[in-house]
This record gives sequence, C-alpha cells and structure tokens, in this order.
Amino acid sequence: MLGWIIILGPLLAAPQKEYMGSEVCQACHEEIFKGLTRTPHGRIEANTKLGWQGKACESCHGPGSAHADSAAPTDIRGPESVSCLECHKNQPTRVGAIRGGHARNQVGCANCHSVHAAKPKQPLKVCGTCHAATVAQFQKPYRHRLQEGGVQCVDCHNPHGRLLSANPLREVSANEPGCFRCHGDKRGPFAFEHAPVRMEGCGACHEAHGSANPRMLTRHEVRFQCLECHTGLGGGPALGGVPPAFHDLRSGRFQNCTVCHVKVHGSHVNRALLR
Amino acid sequence: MKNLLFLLGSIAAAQESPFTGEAEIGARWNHGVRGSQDAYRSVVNLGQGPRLLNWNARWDANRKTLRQARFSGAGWGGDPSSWLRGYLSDDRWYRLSVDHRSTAYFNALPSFANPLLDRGLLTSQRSFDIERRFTEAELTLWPASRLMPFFAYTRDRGLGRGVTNFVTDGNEYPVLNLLNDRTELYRGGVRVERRRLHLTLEQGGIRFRDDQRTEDDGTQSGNRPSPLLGQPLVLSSLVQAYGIRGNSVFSRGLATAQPFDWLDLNAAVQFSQPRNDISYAHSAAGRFVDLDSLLFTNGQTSRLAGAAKQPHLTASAGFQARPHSRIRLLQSWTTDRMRNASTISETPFFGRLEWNYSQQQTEIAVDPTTRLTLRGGYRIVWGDGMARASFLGLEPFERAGLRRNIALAGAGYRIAGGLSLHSDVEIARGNRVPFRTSLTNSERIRLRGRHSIAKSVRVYGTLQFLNNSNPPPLQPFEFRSMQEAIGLEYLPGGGQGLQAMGEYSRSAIRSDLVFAVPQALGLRDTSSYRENAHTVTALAGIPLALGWTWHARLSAGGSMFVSSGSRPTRFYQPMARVTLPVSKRCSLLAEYRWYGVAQPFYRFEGFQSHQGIVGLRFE
Repeated sequence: MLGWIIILGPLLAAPQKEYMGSEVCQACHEEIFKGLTRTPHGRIEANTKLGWQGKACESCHGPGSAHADSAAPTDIRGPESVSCLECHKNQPTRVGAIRGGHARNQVGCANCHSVHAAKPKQPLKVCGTCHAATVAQFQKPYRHRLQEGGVQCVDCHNPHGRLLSANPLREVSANEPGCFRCHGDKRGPFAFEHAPVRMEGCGACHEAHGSANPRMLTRHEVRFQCLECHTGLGGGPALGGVPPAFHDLRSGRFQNCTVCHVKVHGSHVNRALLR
Repeated sequence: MKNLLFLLGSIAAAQESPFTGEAEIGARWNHGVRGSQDAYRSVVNLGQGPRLLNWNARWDANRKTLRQARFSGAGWGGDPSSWLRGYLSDDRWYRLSVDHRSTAYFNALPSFANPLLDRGLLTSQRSFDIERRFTEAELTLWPASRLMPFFAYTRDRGLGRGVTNFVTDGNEYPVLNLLNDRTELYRGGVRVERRRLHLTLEQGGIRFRDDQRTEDDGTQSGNRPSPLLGQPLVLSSLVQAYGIRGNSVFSRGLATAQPFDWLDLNAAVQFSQPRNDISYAHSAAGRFVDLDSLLFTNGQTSRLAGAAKQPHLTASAGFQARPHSRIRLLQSWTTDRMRNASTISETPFFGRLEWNYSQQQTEIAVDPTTRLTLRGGYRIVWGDGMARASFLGLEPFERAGLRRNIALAGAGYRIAGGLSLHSDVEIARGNRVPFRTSLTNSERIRLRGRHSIAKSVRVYGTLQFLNNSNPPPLQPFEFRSMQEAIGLEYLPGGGQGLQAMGEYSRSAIRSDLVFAVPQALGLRDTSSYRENAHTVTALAGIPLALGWTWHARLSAGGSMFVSSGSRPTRFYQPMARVTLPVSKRCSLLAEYRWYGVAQPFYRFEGFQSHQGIVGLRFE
C-alpha cells in the first residue's frame, strides 16, 4: 500500500500553478489590462524593483496557468480572495483601521476602490450603496452641497478608520475635527469657549448631513436647542444645567437665543457669548 | 475663452489619443421664484446665465516627467458651489494634487433669530451672504519609494456680509456685519514605508486672522418695544471691530508595524497648540443703560485685548492579533486631553475649559465558516471636564464626568460577488455624562445588506435604531430614532439601454426633555421634537429611437422629501434631461428642474422655481 502511495501520490497531486505573464491574460482580458495600465498599479508591470515585471495581473490574482487552461473563474483568485494588504498593510491609512467600522466588518478594498478602472469611482455612489439612509439625509432642504460636488463624503470622513476619539471624522491640523477644514472661523481657540463644541463636536447641535431645520440644527426652534442643556433644573452631574440668566422665556424676544448670544460657537471677548 | 475652446477642441478631436474627457456647457434659465426669494437663495441659490456646468479631462502623457494628469471641475460661471480638482503624477518622482472650491453661503430665513416675527416683520437678525474659498495643494515626492517626503498648503477664506446684533443692556440692535477671515495651513513631513513597518512624521503650522466688523449709522430703536424707566433706548451709530491674529503649531506621528504575520500594531500621537491674540474695540452712540447702576449714557466705548491658548493632545494605540486563522483579537486605547485658558483685559473673568477623554475597546472576531464572522467585545469610555460656570452658579466652575460601559456585538455574512450582510449592536450603560443631551443608557442597532440578484441588478438596504434613556440623578432625556432605507439599481453593462435606480428611506425621531421656566416658579415645559420623514430618490435613463442615426437619451427622476412632526416640510426636486447626439463626440442637452419647498408652520418660507438648461456636451 505504501508503495502505491509513493508511486501514484505525485501523479495524483494537483498540478503546480505557474505564472504565465500579463500577455497571456491580455488575450482574453484586454480591456481590463488596458485600464490597469492607466492606474497607479500599471507601474507594477514595468517596475523591476517590485519583482512583478511583466506579471502585473498575477501579482494580485496569483499564478494563472490553471485559469488559462480551463478559463474557469474558480481557478484563479477572485476579488474576494485578493489580499490588497499584502502590499498596502503598513501605510498611514491603516493606523486607525481597527477602530473603524469598515475594517471591523471586513469590508473589502474592492467594495470601494476600482482597481482596474482608469476612472475612479464617484465617492457618493460608492458610499451610498451601503449608507443609503445617510445619503437620503442630503435630500433635506438645509444640507451640505454633496449632490453638487461641493463636498464629498471623504472630505469629512476617513473611510479607512478613525484617529479621533469620539467621532468618525477626518482630522485636520493634527487632531481637530474635519469640520474646521472649511469652517476655519469656528476653530478658535476662543477666550470663552462654548463647551459642547469642543467636547461633543458640531454634531451636538447640527445635523451635518442635512436637516429640515434652518442652519441644519437638530431642533426646529433655537430655544429648544439651547434649553435642552440649559434647563434651569440644576446642574447635577452635567455641564450647563444652571440657568444662564433669568430670561422671560414666555416672551418672543427671549425665544430666539442667538439674537443676543451671537457668538454661540465661542467668543473672543464676552463671557456670555454676546459679542 | 480661447483656452477653453482649445481644450474642448482637443477633447472632441481625441481618437485613441492620450487626451480624454467630457465637458458640458450651457445656459440656465430661471423662470423667477414664486414665494420667498430669501428662502430660495438659502436652499437652492442657482442663478441664470451661461455656465461651464461640469467637465473632466485626462492626459495619459506617459512621459518621463508626467505620466498622468487629471482635472475636473463644475459650477463655473456663477453657481453657488464651484470646484476644480487636479492631479498630476509620474508615479516615480512626484504626485501633486490640487483642490480649489468656492462656496457661496446665503442664509436669511425669516423664522430664524427673529424676535419680531410676532409683529409680522419677516427679517432675520442673523443672516449672512458670504463666499468661502478653499484651496489645498499636496505634493508627495518619490511616492513609490520607501521614504516619501510630503508638503501641503491649505488656504481657507470667508468674505462677505450679513446681519448680526449689537447687544447692550436692555436692548439689541440688528446691524451690518462685515465678515473677513482667513486661515493658512502649512504642513510637511516624511513617510517611511517598509514591508513590516510604516512611520509618518508630520509637522505643521497655522496662521489665522479674523477682521470681522459691524457698522451702523442710522438711528434705530432695536428690539425693545417700550422705553425703560421712561427713557427710550436707541442706537444712532456704531463701529465694532475684531482683530484676531492666531497661530498654531501641530505635530503628529503615526506608526504601524507587523512584527509577526499574526500581529499588527498601530499607534498615533497628535499634538496641537493653537493660540489667538485678541484685539477688540467698539464705539457706539445713542441712548444706553447700565442695568447694574441704572445709569443712562449717550455713548459706549470699549477696548479689550487678550489671548487664548489651547494645548491639545490625542494619542491612540492598538493591535490586531490572529492566534488562529479564524480568530482575531482587536484591542485599542485612545486618550484625548484638551486645556483652554485665556485672559482678557478689563474683566475679572478668564475663560477655562478642560476635557479629558479616554477609551478602551476589546473585541474578538471569529469566523466559524469562510462566509460568516461573529464579533463580540466591550468598550469603556471615561473622562472628566471642567468649564467656567454661568453667572448664576454658586461655584466659579462646573465639573462633569464621563463613565459608560458598552457591550459590543456584531455579525457579518458574505457570499463572494453576491450577498453581504452586516450587523452591529451596542448596548451602553452609564452614570456620568458631560451634558444632559449626551447618550447615557442607550441601545444602538445597525443592519446593512447588499445583494446582487443578477450581474446588472443590485438591491441594498440599511436599518439603524437608537434608543436612549437617562437614569437619575440626570434629568430625564428620552430619545429614539429609527432609519430604514432600501435601494434598487438596474445598470446593465454598456449603459446604452434602460438604466434605473431608486431609493426609499424613512426616518423617525422622537425626543423629550424637560426644562424650567424661571418666571413661572415651579412650571416646567417640555422640549419635544418629532420628525417622521419619507425620502424617495429615483432616476431612470431610457434610449429614445428617433431614427436610425438619432440615439437620443431621456433621463428623468428626482427626489422628494416629506416630513411631519415639529417642523413639517415638503421638498421636491424633480428633473428631466434629454441628450441628443449631433456628432460622434458632441450632443445637445436640455434639462428641466423644479424646486419646491413648503413648511406649513412657516408658509412665508415656501417657494417654487422652474429652471431650464440648454447646452452642449462634448466627449
């Protein structure tokens, strides 16, 4: 028995897959190869230092001899098996990956990136197929101009992970939330800060994607926005609970807090954020 | 214009040339606005006239100094949102990206910040009409090497005017507000990328200036309806000027390493120390009162100087270990520490804000099969903060803590190229939060799924649920939100036949918080917010056969947002577009759009607008 195994074993074993070179791949996948050469990955084909000269396709899809013989998709690494991280693991985008939802849910690179296409996918279309409810928020009247191309999802969010503590925003100037990238006048530091701006971020009061309320606020009237923290019911263990002043909340004049508290994001000179 | 025609000519003449691109030029016609012009400008703000609607161009030069150049832009010629993006690279020596945007912000809604609405005056006292211009350029040298220096410059500027209030004791006066701020950010550093190690070191700086001014030169009585102690309070002239000059230095270090095949490490340290020097002056004439002394004066002058500083440190570290091919252990720590301190002349008060936040998270992911992943773990967040108390506080400072324990669970199921389902569940319990509106005892569920029914048909959907309830001694805060969305795409290859996509989303928010009304002792009121919204977005493209040489295409669709609750809103944006090829690379285009907003509680903010575009499309 052992003798039969020794004799027939090598003959029955699966044939060794071999690298064929990109010219063989192009015979059937010419358009794909043409697209690939117009992407940054195209340099793999010619670069001698990377070790895949003339084998750009097989650098990701593995040796293609079996696939070339059978033309069966099962005989080559498909998108689900290609490991982009073999080359792209130690890069800045990977620093916050394990805190981000994409890596934790094993969302593959090819879900968002078009590896072969010369033209990158539109970020709105890429993100929208998974985050459809979020994209719908941009159909509200007061919103960031996403559909017009004025902003993109990746301007504010870091799809590869998160480095900031409490929110999934891209960071600017080292460790500030991405909102200040365009809204530099709200950056401060202010002599008199409004604590939630720093501690909870803009999302404490604003629906950044879109809102039916003016100024993208989370409440329909400004007074409710303010009174939910400034309750006048005592501070307790939370900030802002002490009544800020004895305003007559029944009067229309005092139901528009930002009429007087004009520097609601923080004031350079006035403790009550009046100027 | 000559350059533009040359570019369009080059694009049109391209036949297997290294130049490719598309461009749409046209003229927009706006059939007036029925309803509130201010609301229209606050929501849509599209004007009429000739426009370069959008364009993109690509040059695959494949030269030694330039391998590829890509440019794109939209909204040129006066649209409220216009942009230009460029990318040049030869892959070996450099990579340069440029991004420039100009956004016009107009916001003047009669219902916002208008204490005189009850008297029928439809003028917001907090409005603005400004333009923000943002430019960013980043250059990376030797992008394919192991050592990559990079440099970047960002400029952000806001310029325009608006209306704001000059606030004095007993009255406030809407005045002209001239806005002018500018931020310039410089950064540079180096990236080191090896097979098992990456290191990024970055150093940067910011220069900031804000020269905001308010002015008024006509006598006005402000918002106070009646005299105070028989004396009318009026403002007859005002000059108020801010001169803020700021700078900041910031540093960051990022690292990843893979010492063994089964272990990934990562760490980040980020530090910034912004500082603003403050100069403020105002001079006002009129009739004013000092409520502390009840003295009436005919003028006010003030000149203040000060400084604010905010050192801010963020650090994080984590690892992912794979003790078995089907088991992953994910561990991370984060801390964020910020101090804000300031001094202002001629005032005994100084600003102070401190915030320390920390987070630890542990998760284990197991793959029972190649298609299924199960996750479980916990997150602890804790911290403390301190802020200056309000005028009525018994202590000079308020303090708050943060302590929440969060259980994490999740699952993922995927079939290659076909189906993927993801779920996340978080159940949090806490006893200390920094604000009353912070989440405390909450449950959060997220479900996402995608399924490719056929090669050209895909369905996807999401469901998000959040429920929060604050326990004593925190004041009660009940919040619940639910969002569901489902979408369908039918995109057969080639894009020549029928194409269609549609999405439906429903969201519901329910929030209740109690607050006190000081003048009615013992009386409490509730801030209740309700929103029940439906959003539909659809777009279909249909080929029109107008003879064997006329391959026209009709696209029609749009979006609809309808909500009920605290601020019922209807926002419709239907559109239709026809493209008619007149040559191989040129098409005529005609587009119609309609915008309509209605808010039944604020009828004076509704509007409707018809718009048409005719133009040419080159490719």
